[in-house]
Parts: sequence; structure tokens; C-alpha cells
Amino acid sequence: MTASGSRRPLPDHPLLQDRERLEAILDVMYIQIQKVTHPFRAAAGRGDAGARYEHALVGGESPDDVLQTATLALLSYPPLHLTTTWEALAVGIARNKAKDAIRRATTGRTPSSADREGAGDSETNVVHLSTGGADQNPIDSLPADSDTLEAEFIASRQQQILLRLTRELLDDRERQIFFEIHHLGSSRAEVGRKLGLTGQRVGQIYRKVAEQLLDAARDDPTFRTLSEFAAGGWDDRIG
Amino acid sequence: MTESDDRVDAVVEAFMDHLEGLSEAPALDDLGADERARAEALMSSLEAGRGIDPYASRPSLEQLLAGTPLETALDASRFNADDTRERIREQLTLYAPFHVDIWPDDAASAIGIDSDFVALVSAQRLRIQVLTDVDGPFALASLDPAAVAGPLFGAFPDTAGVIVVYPDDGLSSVAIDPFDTEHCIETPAGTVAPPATHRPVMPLVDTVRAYLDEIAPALDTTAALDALPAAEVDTAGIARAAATRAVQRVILDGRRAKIDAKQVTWSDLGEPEIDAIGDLVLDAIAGLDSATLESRINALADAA
Repeated sequence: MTASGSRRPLPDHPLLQDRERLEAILDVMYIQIQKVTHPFRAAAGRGDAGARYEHALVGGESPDDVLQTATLALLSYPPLHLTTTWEALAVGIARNKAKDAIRRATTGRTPSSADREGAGDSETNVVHLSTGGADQNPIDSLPADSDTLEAEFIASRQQQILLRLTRELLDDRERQIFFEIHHLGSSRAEVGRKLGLTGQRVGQIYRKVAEQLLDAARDDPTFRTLSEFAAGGWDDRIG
Repeated sequence: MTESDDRVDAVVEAFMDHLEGLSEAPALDDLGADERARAEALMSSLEAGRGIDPYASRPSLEQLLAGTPLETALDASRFNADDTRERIREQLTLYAPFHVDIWPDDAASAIGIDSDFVALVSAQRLRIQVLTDVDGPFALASLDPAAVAGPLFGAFPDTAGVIVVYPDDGLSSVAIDPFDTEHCIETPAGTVAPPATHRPVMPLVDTVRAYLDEIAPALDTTAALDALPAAEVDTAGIARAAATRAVQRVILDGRRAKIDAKQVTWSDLGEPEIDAIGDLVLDAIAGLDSATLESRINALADAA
């Protein structure tokens, strides 16, 4: 699914003529890159709270660099070869480019004991990319079919709207609780210690604001659910 | 809090425990259809949000394509003829003494925020909204800045200001800064005042100039001579004042001189010399050639 690195960018690429759509796609690609390169899932699974704030791309590329590579790959993809939507293709490219970047950043590093349990023999990756079992190759375990990728696209767009509403609707304390739990994966107890609240109270506040944001998001004209997408989604399928 | 809320809360609480590695994922079997939908929405949102950096700001498309073969393609595609944008660009480019770039604000449009253009003026990133659904340009002064500009400042923290434009002949406009969108405590009463615009409605170029002077003042307070219209400069007055200062300095030196000849002659200078030097400077400004200028200086010295 990923675009070949040898392809040249196309100056008359259809996405360059539809700037609004391209901007939306780039937003989602950036989110996807952050999610792949952020070690949260692996850290949370190991109960390793300290690793949560480390970035997988140690000492090398940033998510911005990966996004640039992914953008050029997307804009090099020939429209006639497109068998899915640009949105689904973009999600696939963003994830693959992020995984490539992690490979480059972590190859040769010595894994921790926790990493070593799930790592393959052929390659050393400090960061697990898989949430599956220890035998599963993490690179192959990410969903690749276009429906799943389109669902990811919709979910990322929804999260982007939630992020905007978070800034518009929440006060500073609610916003901090929401960001820490929803995005950064902090435990309720950790957040409670920072704010002088009990973990239980933090959980209550989080649930209240999460429902408030979801309700507000549903009233937003740009908020689309997966079923709405399936009913009238982008029709780019050519082949 | 209803019993249904309690059940959904309990499931979401258990799901958060699960994400923190404290327990197994909760079963949804005991929930009704509506409760299950609410719980699933919350749980899937919580999962989808993980790993996103809420403080990150995506690079713009221009930054992503800078230095690539697509850079020029982007330039060509973004400047389709658009009357309002061209008028805005024309005003800013004609009168602003610095580099101006302006392009459609697709980044804001993509996330449902009203903003028409981004203008890069004097290294400040301004976002421009064109409002046509208000009752004339003076309605701009009574807009709620929190509603108009709050989402823009929230989503794009690099925005230095939001300029709201009414598309009349002069492009009437008002500038909104990030603090205009917040409640503030007014002194001396200490009352909390709602968000409000504090700047006047002016033509676009004046609005932008005044706003930039406010947020990024140019610290050179002197006006360049070539920026002043000739008719507004009193060259005769300036020349006479300079001549007066010069002659008075010589007179003072003469009074302190130890040599009698110098003390007498220098102290004797006065109005005739001031007038002659002033006239000479005026003629020099008017274009007197250097040979004539030199002979007149020599004649002045001889007369003195």
C-alpha cells in the first residue's frame, strides 16, 4: 500500500487541487504518526509510567520529519493506481512511514528486558509496535484493509474535533485532566497527585468532561461517524 | 445521577482500570442498548485518543513542501484569482513596508473553524476572517471576540492576531488579540468583564499597521528623510537653525580664545553670517554646483 520511495512527486496531483481535503488528510496523518511513534501502548502494557513520556524516535527524526516523508509519498502516488480512498491510503502511508522511522531510530539499540520478551530475532526494536501476542510480528499486525484504515481516519478526525472542543469548552483544570488521561495515558492516581485530588475524583471529572465533549462533538457540523462515512464517503475508487 | 449513569460510569471506570493494567476489560452484558452505546462511545474515544500529543502543532503544508519539487506547484495552485484576497493582498503590499504573503486558510477550514486567509506580515502570522453577514462595518466593533477568534487562537497558538474584515470599499476591519477573547478583571472596581474588542474599526491597512505597531513596535523613532513629502519639510527653517548653531559655537570658541585676533574676529560674528550660511545651505539643497558652492564659501570666509 505504501508509495514507492523512488516515485517523484506529481505537481498536478489531484490532492494539490483540493487544499481543504489535503489539509484534513495531513491532520490525520500527523495523528497517526504520533500514535505509532508514541510508546504509550507498550509503556502502559508494561506498567512503565516513566517510559510514557519518552518518544520512540530517539535522537533522530521527529514526527514532523516523518510527516514530510509521508506527505511526499502520498503526493507521489499515481491517481490511476488508487484502489481505495485517498484518506485510507494516507493512513496506511503515515503508519508505514512511522514504522520505518522507528526501525531506523531503534535498530541496534539494546532492548530492555521487558522489550526483549516480545522482540523478534531478526531485529532489535526498543518499542513494541504490536498489541498482539509475543509471537506476532509487530510490523505486520497493524490493520491494512481499507475499511479499517477509513475507520481509523474517521476516528482520528473525531479526536481532532475533540481536541478543538477541549480548548474551547473546558477550564484549565478539566483540560489538564482530559489531556493527561485521554491523550498522554497518565493514571488517575498520578493526575490526582499533581492536582491534589483523589484518583477517584479525577476519574469522575474525566468521565464528565469526556461525555460533555462527545455530546458537543456530535453537534459539530464537521463531526462524522463511521456509518455516515459509509453512507456517503469519498468516492475515489478508480480501479 | 441516575442509575443508568451509575452503570455506565462503573463500566468506564473498569475500562480505565483495564487500561492502567489493574483489571480485565469490563463486560457490557448488563447494560441496555442505550447504555452500551454510551459506554462504547466513551471507551472507543478513550482508546482512539491515546498517543496523540495534545500540545503538538502540525507543520503547515508550505513547510512540508519547502525545498521539494512540489513547492512551486503549491504556489501556483493557491493563488487562484479571488477578488477579496487580491484586494487584501493589494492593500497590505502597497502600504506595508515589509514582506507580505497571504494564502487561503485551509488548515482552519479543515477543522471547521471560520477563517479565510492567513497573512504573514512582518514575520507575524495574522488570520483574516471576512464577514459578510453583519449589519455593516461598524457592527465589527460589537462582535464577541471569544466566539469569533477564540477557536482560532485555541487551535493555532502561533496566531499573532485575528483581523475581522467587512468587504466594503476600504475593507473595514478590526483587530483581535488573544487577550480580547478572555474574561478579565477590570481595575479599580475588580469586576470581571466579558470578552470585548478594544480597538477601533478602521480600513484594513490602518488596522494592520496599528496592530503591528502595538504587538511588534519598531523601536527606531526617527522618520527617514526620504519618507517625508518635500512640501511638509521647512528647509529654510532647518537651514537657518543649523547655521545659527554653527555660528554660535564659533562665537563661544572666540570668547574663550587666547589669541586676540581670534577673540575679536570670531566673537564679532552674528546675524549677517547666519543669514549667509543659511542661504548657502538652501542653495546647496536646491542643487548648487560644487564649484559655485566653493567660491561662495571662500567669499564668505574673506568677508568674515
